[in-house]
Amino acid sequence: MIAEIIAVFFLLLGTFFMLVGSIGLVRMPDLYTRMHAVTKCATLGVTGLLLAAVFSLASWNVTIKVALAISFHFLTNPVGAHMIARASYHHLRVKFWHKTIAEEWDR
Amino acid sequence: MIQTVAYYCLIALFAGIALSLVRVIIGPTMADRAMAADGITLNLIGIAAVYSIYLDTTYYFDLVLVFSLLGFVGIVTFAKFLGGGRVVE
Repeated sequence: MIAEIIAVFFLLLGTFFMLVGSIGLVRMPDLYTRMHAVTKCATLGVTGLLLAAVFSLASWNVTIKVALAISFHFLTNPVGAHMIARASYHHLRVKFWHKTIAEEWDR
Repeated sequence: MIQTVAYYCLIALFAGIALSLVRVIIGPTMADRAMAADGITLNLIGIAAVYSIYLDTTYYFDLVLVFSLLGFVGIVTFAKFLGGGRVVE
């Protein structure tokens, strides 16, 4: 009973963050801001949904796989986005949004 | 109760896939398309987890692990391709 309420809470949290991340991917003005939306919001959303599965299906099998998946996501998603940001800044020379205030390297 | 909530969460996650697909089609640069493909992969992992809650089974969690690995390898390969052109040295 209590486990079901906690599972519903994590399910709603995870879905909310996934929707916010996908909407941010469509509406953000620049490549670099879209990268913020995808990595942060979508990683948190997947974490919430997997935790909801842990509380709903009470099984050791699921818990171990979810622990592996969550730690893997927290380690690898930012690294992948960082590599794409480096490649697009130095090689593709993608321009910033015109209202950007601070730029660290002068080009 | 959790069955109806999981049903509506599945609809919301499919909407997330549709929005990421919009960015894959529109996105002016190739890096936009790579980030949107990663977004599709993450939404798909969410759908696998919520569907296994909906059916009350534990069979779809291998899919979660495999898609996490494949998504990471795909985005690292794409980033190395965008920044230089040589993926395997």
